[in-house]
Amino acid sequence: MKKIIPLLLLFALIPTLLLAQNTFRVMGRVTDKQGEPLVGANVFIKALNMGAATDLDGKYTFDVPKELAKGQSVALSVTYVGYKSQSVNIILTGNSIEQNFQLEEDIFESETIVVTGIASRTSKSVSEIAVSRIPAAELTAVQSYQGINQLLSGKVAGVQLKPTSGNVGGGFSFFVRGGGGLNGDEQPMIFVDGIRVDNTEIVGYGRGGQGFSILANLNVQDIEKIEVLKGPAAAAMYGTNASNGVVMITTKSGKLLPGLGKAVSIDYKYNFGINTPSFKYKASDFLSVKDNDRANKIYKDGFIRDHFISASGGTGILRYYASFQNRIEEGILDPIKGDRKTFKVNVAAYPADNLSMKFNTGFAYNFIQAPNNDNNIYGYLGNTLLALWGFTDSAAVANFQDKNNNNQFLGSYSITWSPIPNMDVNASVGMEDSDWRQDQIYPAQYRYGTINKGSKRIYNRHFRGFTYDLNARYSYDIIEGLRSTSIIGTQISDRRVQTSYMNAEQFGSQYIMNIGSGATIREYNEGAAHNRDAGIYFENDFSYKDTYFWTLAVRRDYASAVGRAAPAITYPKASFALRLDKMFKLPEQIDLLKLRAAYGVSGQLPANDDGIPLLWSAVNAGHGIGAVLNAIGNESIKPEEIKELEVGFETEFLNMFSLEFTYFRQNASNSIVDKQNAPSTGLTASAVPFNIGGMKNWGFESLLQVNPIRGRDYNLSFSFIWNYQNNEVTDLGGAQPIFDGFDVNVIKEGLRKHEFYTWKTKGAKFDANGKYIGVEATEDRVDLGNPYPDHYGSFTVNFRFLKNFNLYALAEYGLNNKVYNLTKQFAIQYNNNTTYEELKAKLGLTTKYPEIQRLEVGSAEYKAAAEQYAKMNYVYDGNFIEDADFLVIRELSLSYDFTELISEFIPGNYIRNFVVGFSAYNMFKFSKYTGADIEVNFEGSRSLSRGQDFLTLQNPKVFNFWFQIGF
Amino acid sequence: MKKIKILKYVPLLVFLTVFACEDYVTSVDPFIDRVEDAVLDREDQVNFLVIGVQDAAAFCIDDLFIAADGLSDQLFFTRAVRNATYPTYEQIDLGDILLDNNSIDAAYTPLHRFRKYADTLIARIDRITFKDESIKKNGLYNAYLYGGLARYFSATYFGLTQESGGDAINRSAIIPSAKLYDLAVEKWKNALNFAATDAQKRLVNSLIARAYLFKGDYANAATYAKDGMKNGDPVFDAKYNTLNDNNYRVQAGELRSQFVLTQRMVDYVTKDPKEANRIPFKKASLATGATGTYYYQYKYKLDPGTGLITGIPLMTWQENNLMLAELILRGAASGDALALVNEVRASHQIDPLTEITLNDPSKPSIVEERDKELCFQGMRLPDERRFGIWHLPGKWQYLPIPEGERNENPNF
Repeated sequence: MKKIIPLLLLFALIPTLLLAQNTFRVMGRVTDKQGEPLVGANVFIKALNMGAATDLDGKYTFDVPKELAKGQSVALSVTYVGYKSQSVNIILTGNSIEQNFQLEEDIFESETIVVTGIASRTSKSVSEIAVSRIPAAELTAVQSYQGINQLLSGKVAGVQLKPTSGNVGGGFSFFVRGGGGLNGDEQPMIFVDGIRVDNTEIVGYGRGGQGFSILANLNVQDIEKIEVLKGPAAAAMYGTNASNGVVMITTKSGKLLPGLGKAVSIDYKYNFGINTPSFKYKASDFLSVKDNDRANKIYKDGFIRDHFISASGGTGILRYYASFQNRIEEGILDPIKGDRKTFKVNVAAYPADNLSMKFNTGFAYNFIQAPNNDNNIYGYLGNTLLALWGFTDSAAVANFQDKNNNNQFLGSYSITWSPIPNMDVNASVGMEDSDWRQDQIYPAQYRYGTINKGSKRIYNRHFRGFTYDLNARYSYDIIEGLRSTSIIGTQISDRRVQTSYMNAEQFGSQYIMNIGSGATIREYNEGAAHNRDAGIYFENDFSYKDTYFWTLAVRRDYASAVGRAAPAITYPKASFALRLDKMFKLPEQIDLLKLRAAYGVSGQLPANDDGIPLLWSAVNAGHGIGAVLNAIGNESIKPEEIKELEVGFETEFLNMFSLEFTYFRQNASNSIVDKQNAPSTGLTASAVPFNIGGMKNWGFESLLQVNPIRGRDYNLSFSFIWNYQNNEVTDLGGAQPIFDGFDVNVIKEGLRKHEFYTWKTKGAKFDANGKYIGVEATEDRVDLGNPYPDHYGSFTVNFRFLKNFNLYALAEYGLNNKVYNLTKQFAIQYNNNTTYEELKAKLGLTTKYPEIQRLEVGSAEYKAAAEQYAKMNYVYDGNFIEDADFLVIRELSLSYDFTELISEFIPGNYIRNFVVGFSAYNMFKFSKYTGADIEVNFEGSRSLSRGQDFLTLQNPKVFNFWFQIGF
Repeated sequence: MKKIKILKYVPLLVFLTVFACEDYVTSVDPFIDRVEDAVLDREDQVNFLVIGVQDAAAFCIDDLFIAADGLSDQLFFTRAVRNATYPTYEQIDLGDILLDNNSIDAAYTPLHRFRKYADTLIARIDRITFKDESIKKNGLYNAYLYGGLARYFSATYFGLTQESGGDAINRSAIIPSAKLYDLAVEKWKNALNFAATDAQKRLVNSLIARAYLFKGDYANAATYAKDGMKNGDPVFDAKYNTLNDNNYRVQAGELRSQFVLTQRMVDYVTKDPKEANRIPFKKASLATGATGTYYYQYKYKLDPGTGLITGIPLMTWQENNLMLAELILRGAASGDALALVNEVRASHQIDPLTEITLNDPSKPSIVEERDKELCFQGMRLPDERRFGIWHLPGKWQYLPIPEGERNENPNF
């Protein structure tokens, strides 16, 4: 709608300029299929830049100078939000023309404008690439989401999101298509209102493996829409590091309220929610559960209170949106807390017909507190699932503090100027400035392993980033029917990070733990990094008779991250789309049929010191301050290059079905492989980067939408996403396989990225008498599957019934998914696995459980028990890699719109809407996996370790009750 | 016309942008915490580099000695002790060591780092023109001293197979321990040329003596031990501070007792409480539900008074005395072995012995005195091998050269 309003203004003024007497009139009426008038539809002749909007009766009229009528054929077009646009050819003879339109409802929003590139946007019906659009504002109206990961999960074909733990504000990772190339952290570039935002997982002083997502600062209720470009074919013009796609978040802008006679609308939403454990540990798995359910007793329900108020409105030349949110959230363990306050002010001004400006600002203050967990001895889970408070006392675990305070400012200013018809010049500057402060305390009165009389740790991080964009777009007709749009632009990114930290121990009193009162400084240091990227791009889009569409584009990119000399990298792109339904006379049941193909190249930058051969740093150790090698680089390093080809189609048929399908294939070359020198060289300060690797990934993504029931009182729609992804590491340039810290996930030629590759037990060994004497393991490592499903997707139902009830449900599934259950492996080592202990007793390997009867050596039962025992042998990691196919009932919501009812009792229009709802998140999870959660990862969201569940906090089930009232 | 006017600026804009981009991206803040290699080719950076070698050696030594003593019969691993969790330590204790054991990586990789730093320091000093020769001399003395120490560690602690010692240097084929001892001695003889004091010379002589002793070349060992460290010479040690803690203290000591003393070591003190002066230990906390009494070493600790962390001795005059005594008993040197041993005992206020043997288990012996005097200093592992008292038959007697070296070394 906001795109149309400037046009409306433009067209409204045109008739007044054309009061010449030598005119003829173009007029008609625009209605829907039922004959109801459509008010405010734009009707125009693009070739003449003339047109008008329809009135309350759906009528339009505008005058055209007779001198422009030369008997030519021109397209008379009509556009209206929510309806498919139409064009008819008319002959301009100088006589009046009457042309009526009957528009079809755009059920599947194929006419909605989406972003298809850095400066290009078009409707999905003619897009040459696969682009996903998430109507965030519609979703947040019926569901309560903690953050953007929950909002996106299951809704974008070809994109998987994994929250790595159940902490509030916890890290999460994107996995787009087949995971891109070998390099980088697989994360897409994220833009908020044109600002490239920091997507780092903030760890600071560890609390186990988990970090926090800086994106947790975003208030999802401020988001209008999210658009996702999924690979180089679409995102090449974003330059290096766009190989994993681009996520563009657009926040809400001020809206006029036509017909209501109000200059402002105010909305308030209150949400009360409960986080509750989604998994209960079983007595059959853990002795510490069998013992009075002690492993489950640490959990509790955590409450959520979320207040959100927004105001929106404006006039013809100035519109505004402002909001405030305060979300207070408790987790399922006592220390988990979050308190986020966000402020947002977006202002748009239209001071002239050819000039618009937008000022978007957002500020977030976010407090997050998390406990220790994962692979460390101070965590709740380690002390209940391995040894019952055996590593650290329960009071010590409970009183550990990890408090994080962060502020983030996001601001952007953009201006669009049309100096001549069909030309737009866009300039924007965006800024992100964030501070993160962590205070971690191990109180002095408790004993924590290696910590001596308490520890206070402070971590500070300051990030400042600027994004500059300047581009110009000019459209013109080359010949009749062949339209060209040329885009030229530049994009610059400047990012600085500074960190500092300090750790003191040995406190005299637990009551005074400022860092200066610690007797021993264990650590202090600082870090800084500064990176700049800059690119210039040129793109030319062509369309012929609204049937054929093609684009050619190229970007020249520069980056400071590549060594001392900034090499230029060139990324090309080409794409093509064909509207078959306009080319041929197809059966009338087919409403839309479009084929498309796109090719593009992007990359992943090396680390910012990869291009420097030897770097030394200073170390402060026992002999004093000395020089040690810090990094070993390679002067000739260049970015990894990722080429992608995608082909696909979109179709709509029977006025009820919509189907999108995309096949993609990505080839990564010159991938940077960090080759570890042999330790005996002594040059092991870091691995050495070489452009010697390669990988490929391929798959498809599909989205089927069905809308069988549409009506005033009932509306039913389904959508089904089915994705397939596969990949293979094709080349490591002779380097040894690269393993994660736990030596299980691997990057190895011939295998998928992150594949589980390790030893496992083949079976038990017996002596001549049939007595168990040990295990027989595989002679070498074996391929044990992947922590990412190859087939995955979601199923959504949206049902409005009895006019005012709305039911929404979303389920996600994944097949051929594996998870490494380290929790179980270590519970066995610590004699806390119920089954293993029973087997041990049955085999006579322990006398600890006299109540369990020993089996007769050599008997069938004995052998079966021995085989089972051998397959639980904790020495071999492969014994704990489990099938983890899943079906998750992710979202469920039911709401009732009381607006109509209220209007009967309260006269006037003081209350614009009033909706009450209930929603649930992570309602049910079905999986063969025996651990707590298929989605966690003990090393957070960025390391090579994936799909490893090691004492990691489960993601909770969430229930929300909310109401929304609008004035 | 207006259209044309605007469009004519586009090529100019493109031209300027292309050239501006490259300048823009290279104008970034310099590193604050790192410097390129060539910058250090200066006289005034040599002491900074020397300390780097010493610190790098200290990074290795604590982890190396935990592993060596864990594999020997001085320490053992048990989950009965609170917070004893590393499966890699368990493997070391049992001698069933997998090649991907990262506790051994933690010693092996830093060992070769400090060797490399020491070796490249010699080449770097050669590139520098010095105004102050003492800086050059100190640099070369330390470079040779630590270069030799690294080769001695390789010879003593690492092996390609369970029963044969040796290591690679810079991806070489395996160099047997005997040859590595020779290489260490060669370095140390060079160090003697740059020693600034007699005490430095005596230290180097003791190190050479030990290399020969472990190699089994008793005659040469005796020659150097006679000119080795003497009572009053300062200990040569790896130093630690609170920023780089002694990992022996952290993982096998007062902070986390992942290795505890075998009963043998406890019995020494039970039998003669004064032995606690050189075998200090304390009672370890038990894991929940565990029973028994276990003790952790308290040789390496944080002194609450001074805030200093105990260093790890690498050579002492006491060890030189015991070497000489051993060589006398082996017939390679002359002198009073018992007096040498008793001088050592007296330094810990322990009563003198009346007799001493080489390795008679029924009588006071050199092997037992070394066990007590040099406890937790990585000496028991080579002594078990030298004196034929290996306690884990059929298991690793050396720390295995890790998988990373085996995979990346084409000469293996």
